[in-house]
Amino acid sequence: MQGPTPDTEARAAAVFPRAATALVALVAALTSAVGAAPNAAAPIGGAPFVSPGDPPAWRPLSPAEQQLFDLGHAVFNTPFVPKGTPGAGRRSGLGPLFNAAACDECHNEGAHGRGPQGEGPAPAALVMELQTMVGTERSEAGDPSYGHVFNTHAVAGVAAEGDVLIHYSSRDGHYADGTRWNLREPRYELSGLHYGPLEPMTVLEPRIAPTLFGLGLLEAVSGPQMHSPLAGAEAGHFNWQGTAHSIVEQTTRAFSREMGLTTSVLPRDDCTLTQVVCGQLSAAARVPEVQEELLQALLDFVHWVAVPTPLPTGAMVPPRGSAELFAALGCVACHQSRLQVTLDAPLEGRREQVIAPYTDLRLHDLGRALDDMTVAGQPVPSRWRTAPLWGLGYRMRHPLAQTFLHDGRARSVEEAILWHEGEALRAREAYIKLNAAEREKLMQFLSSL
Amino acid sequence: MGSRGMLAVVALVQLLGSAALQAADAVSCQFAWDVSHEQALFNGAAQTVAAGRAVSAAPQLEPNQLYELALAPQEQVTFAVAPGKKMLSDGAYGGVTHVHITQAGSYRVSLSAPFWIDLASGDKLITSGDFTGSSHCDTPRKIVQFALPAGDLVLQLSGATSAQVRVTITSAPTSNAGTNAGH
Repeated sequence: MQGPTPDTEARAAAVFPRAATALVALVAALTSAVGAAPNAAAPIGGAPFVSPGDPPAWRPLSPAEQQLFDLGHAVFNTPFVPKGTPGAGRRSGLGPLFNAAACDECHNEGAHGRGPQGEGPAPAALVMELQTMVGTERSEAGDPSYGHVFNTHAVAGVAAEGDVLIHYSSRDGHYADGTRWNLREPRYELSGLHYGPLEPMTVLEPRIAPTLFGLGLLEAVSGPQMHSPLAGAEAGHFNWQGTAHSIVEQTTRAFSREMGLTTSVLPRDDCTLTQVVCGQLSAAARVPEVQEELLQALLDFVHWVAVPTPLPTGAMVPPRGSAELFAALGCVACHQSRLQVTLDAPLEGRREQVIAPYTDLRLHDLGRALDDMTVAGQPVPSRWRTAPLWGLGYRMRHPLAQTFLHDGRARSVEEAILWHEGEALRAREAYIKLNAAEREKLMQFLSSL
Repeated sequence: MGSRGMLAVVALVQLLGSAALQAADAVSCQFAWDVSHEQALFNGAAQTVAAGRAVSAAPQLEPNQLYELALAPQEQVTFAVAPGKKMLSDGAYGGVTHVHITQAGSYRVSLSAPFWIDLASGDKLITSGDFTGSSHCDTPRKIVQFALPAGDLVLQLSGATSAQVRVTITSAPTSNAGTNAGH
């Protein structure tokens, strides 16, 4: 691997208050596991990733579809270059401002971005999104001077917006059995601000590039499918806070705001009035910079890319009772194992299918510790889309992908669980009460997803 | 982060804009690992070599030397094995070289430009183990680490749009512990 890598978060919510382990047997008896409802059909979406550099599709593709998938994969991997690069052809148009030159630079082969290993400059896969507050709500607008994303790179002749530096402080605690943990709490510094100060009420939103696995199936989830008392707010199906409602919206925003590439859907770069040269270069550029054929192929690739399942050899078999433990802790209140989807075209004769994403695709409060902050240092109440856990085992087995949550602060799944508060506080408390063997059993279950 | 702490940081950045710009310069070439050996090589003189358009015409590179490779348009290059990364080839350059590894172990390939790096042993690509990089920097820009067997290998570069690239092959230290992932 030469770029970032694999996804998902652990998160729990509180349906079962205490004595989680005591409920395991009851849950097992009543449901024969988490995944039984809403129906017993085998979930679709998973496929073994024999070669990480060659991710498969979640359904058989026709030769013509496979051609589009392969072209989209190539577009996904290709670094774009600034306008005027000799011979650049279809890959011309990067910038003027950008964070990365290729989709793959942040989502390595469709996987979750590689988060920060320590203090210092933020890695490419961690971008600082910016939103302006209107009253007590976040608006669609970005910062007046810096736009929707803080761009750390620029083409020749244009000043980049600055750098994102990360500092960590330590937060200690211990499990009920006395085992200690240490979490790292991030603080972000925007350094070298080239276009003046940010607005004090701009919200700083550090975001790791999320996994793209199975997005076409998440898009196919429709209608309310809530089975828990933690209903959560409806939102878009994509991004950490459900801010995108479709693959098209998510992809074209990333092109525009993080790569400086215009598309037929979003024919604007993210230049602000303060960024005069950026605006001039953008106005002089061909629109769209991403050719329609390439955009459509990329969208097809993202739509069809599968969720990695354990390989036949060395497959992780979760220990007996581990799924029930996951349920008894209350994790399933938000990380719902089964959702129904309606496909555009029948698969094995049926358009109605079931997937196992371990998410409810809703927004939940996870406590103040995860709140975003304004530039002026005010916390902004933040709600988070339940991160899908499918493919988590693939990520847990990947040595370079061990950062979790929206800003990569968690260095393990255990740490990710420990950051859960708010609606998930009781599940976290139940988790803390587990002994080491039970915690290991839970990890084995999660690594089987 | 505490709100007062954040406020203080913002105020500091806003008041000391020029100082902050200097800080930005300082972060430009940070890497996740200790790459001082590679940086020392990149600050030296490079030997100019034309990369091969085929394995049969590929030059031999030696570890711990800095080379400036002249590359060919990628469509003119016949690789030993298809590059490990599918990309559009528009405007791309590429080339192949031989590398002889006398002792199996962990090695780094460092480049001044963001080419895709493959190492092939026979007809098989060797999976890389880790990477780091600093896109503000070209001394080097990208470093990929491989666990290599002893013997003759083929180094393949592909995908980027410059006709030259500086390259070194170095033995990697036992640990890559560092401060943060660069990019």
